[in-house]
Amino acid sequence: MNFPSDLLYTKDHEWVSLDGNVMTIGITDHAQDALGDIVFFESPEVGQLIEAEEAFCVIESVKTVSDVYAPTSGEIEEVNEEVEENAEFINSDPYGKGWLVKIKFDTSEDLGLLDADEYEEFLKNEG
Amino acid sequence: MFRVDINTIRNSVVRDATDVKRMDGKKVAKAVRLQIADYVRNLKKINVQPKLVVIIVGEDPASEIYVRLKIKGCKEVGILSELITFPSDISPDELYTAVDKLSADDSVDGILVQFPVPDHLSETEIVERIAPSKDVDGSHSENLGRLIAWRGEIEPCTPRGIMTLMRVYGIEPRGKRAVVIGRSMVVGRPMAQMLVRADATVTVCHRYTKDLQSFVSQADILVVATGVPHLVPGAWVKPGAAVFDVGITRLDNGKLRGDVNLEECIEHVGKISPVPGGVGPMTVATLLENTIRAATVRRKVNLDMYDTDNDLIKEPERKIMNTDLKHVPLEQKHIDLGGKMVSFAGYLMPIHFTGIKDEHFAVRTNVGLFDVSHMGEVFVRGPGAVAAVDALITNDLSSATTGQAIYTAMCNTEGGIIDDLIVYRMSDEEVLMCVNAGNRDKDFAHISKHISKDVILSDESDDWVQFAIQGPHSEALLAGICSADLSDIRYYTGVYAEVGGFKALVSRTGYTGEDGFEIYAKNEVGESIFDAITEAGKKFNMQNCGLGCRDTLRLEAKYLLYGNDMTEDVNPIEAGLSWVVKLGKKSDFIGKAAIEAIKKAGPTRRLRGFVLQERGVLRPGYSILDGDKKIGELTSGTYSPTLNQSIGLGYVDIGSTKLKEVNIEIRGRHLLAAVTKKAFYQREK
Repeated sequence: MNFPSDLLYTKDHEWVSLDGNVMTIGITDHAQDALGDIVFFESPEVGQLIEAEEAFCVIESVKTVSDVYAPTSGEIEEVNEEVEENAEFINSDPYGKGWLVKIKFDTSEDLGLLDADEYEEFLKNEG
Repeated sequence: MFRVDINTIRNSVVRDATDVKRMDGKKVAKAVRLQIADYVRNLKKINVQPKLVVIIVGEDPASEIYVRLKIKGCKEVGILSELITFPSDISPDELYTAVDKLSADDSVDGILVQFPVPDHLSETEIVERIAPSKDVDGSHSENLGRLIAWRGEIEPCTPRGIMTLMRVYGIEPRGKRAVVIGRSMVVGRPMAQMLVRADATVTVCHRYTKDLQSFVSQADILVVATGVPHLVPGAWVKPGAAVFDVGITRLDNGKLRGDVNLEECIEHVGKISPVPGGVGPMTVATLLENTIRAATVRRKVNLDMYDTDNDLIKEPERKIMNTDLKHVPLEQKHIDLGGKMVSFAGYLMPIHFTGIKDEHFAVRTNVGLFDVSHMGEVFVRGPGAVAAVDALITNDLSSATTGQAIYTAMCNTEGGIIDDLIVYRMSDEEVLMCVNAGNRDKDFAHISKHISKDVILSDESDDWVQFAIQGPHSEALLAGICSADLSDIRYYTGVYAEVGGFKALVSRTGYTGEDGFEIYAKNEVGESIFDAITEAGKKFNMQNCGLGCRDTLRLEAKYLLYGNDMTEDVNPIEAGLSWVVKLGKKSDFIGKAAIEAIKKAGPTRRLRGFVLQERGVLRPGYSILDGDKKIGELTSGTYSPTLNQSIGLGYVDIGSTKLKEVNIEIRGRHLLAAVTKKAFYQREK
């Protein structure tokens, strides 16, 4: 499984990439593999305010429903409309075409994110 | 409904225990709470937030400790809790009004009034005031009545917790002599009932019992709930007995003491629950369990179809080590083939190999191989086998020819479906009933209770494997390795033949909506047959398939799934299974009178299919709406790879069955769905 070292990770199996006060998030390779064939991404609204740890959007695979949790409080800046149309991008390219949303956030918050090594270690212990 | 998974707890707690005598209630309770937390997490995914309200009247320091423990327990597992404190001089009417309000509040699942209450209030009156469906203490007379009727849904926490401990530690009450000391409404009386139900011979002792020792010394299972410290000296306890000490008294020196002198009997007792750390923690855990049960029963939530095991968190390898699942003989082979394993009906089964969609299309367009060895095989043999089975099923086996199979329902006297099954008339003296894995024990109990005593009944489920070869190229594939002429095997017939040189029953049946075969064989030759199929399948690019696509395939073909689309609360008429009910057949059968009556009066609801017209995925449990009016609920739902739309099944109130379009509520949003009576997919023949 692939966990790019230039990304950060959450214990809810999401990846995060930071650019100033905007973060892009998606789900990890591990998460997409566990979910199986993803068929639906229920996106939040642009401009929607979200709270850290809130379940703010939903991914459905053929077999199950899974919430996506907000890694931080903030405002939805952009939604990946292509993934709304082609949810399978989350399976085929979770770190690229399968990104989910961009969130504008308060940079002074400690996000408690993991680097790739720590996330892999976390997966090992969790598994 | 939530049920504690005993095996998992047994494996995690008991297997590693260093102390073979003391039952560790704390650890078991923690394991129960973990399972509840898991369940609550999944409830939340479908927007169900269980809530418990605890009422405390006045200030009693002991009560406050108990209440704090309960609230902390709720927090840990994700149950919302609210503490309402009333002044000790509250009038009875004010308190009753408050209880009534909570009983009527739809967001509240459990109501608990902490006792004791001040003298001017009646505990009995208060308990009777709580809606029975929210009485998480199980003390309401309706719940106690249900307990005696053996139909309990919410049962008193302490005795129920003790029963859980018993099961975890493998203490089997059947045929044992059980003695319960104490006859309180919260422990002694319900405990005795539960032990009777669990097939023990029970004696209840109390303050007027003469010669208590003579009873105690005979007890294989002893439950003591008196609050008299060290009432039972160790010497009274029978060697090897299992002792549950409920009493807990704080002595003047601050130490806690139970009703049984543990030190005196630890050498010769079989198992004992210590004080503290024995029964106490189980009581709180069971309260949480009751709250979840109350929530799911009252809100009619069925989570079983949700893939709770395969959440983002767990890896399958871990499950193999830690749980006591049942295993199909070829489990390791599926893991080696890259199968992603999940628990299904108690078995570790592959949900997919390369992906559900891949596998789905392989079956629709080419050929796939499923291991369905979890299915149950019950044989009925001897002269009269056909008639004996006919008395249990709705379809007509007597008019089936040798080698013919029939799809049928098996009903209870009310016409509720106990299971749906395929029955093979192998000869006049041999009938094979292929039952659902999850119903196997229930079915066998029902069949053995009701079937004619002149036939020989055997549950051979553990001795047989079952493989399904499904898809348009099934016949070509199987023809190369099967001794029978497959063109002679018509749809829904089966013959004994050789597959890959090994004896098997080959039948033209399936659960996918495609042409295909199901192959039954004894475990010993299972792997050889599987390998022969795999070898023959190479030429066809055969796909290994898991249960994931089995569900999408069967739903597209509108085949019902037991546990979802059928339960004991569903009759064959409303399920659209009239075609397998032969009211005119020669023999009477269980449920016939009830089904006749339903047919005459007309069903109150009917099964319909739904195709979602917007983006999203239908799932079981979602509400079906006509405008804003709820007219039913989905019982199945998934994404259809063939249609690239979501499809579902559900029951619709009889007044609404003609609607062409309905709304389905998904996480608060109303989405349009087309209604259909037909299968979502029909293969070209």
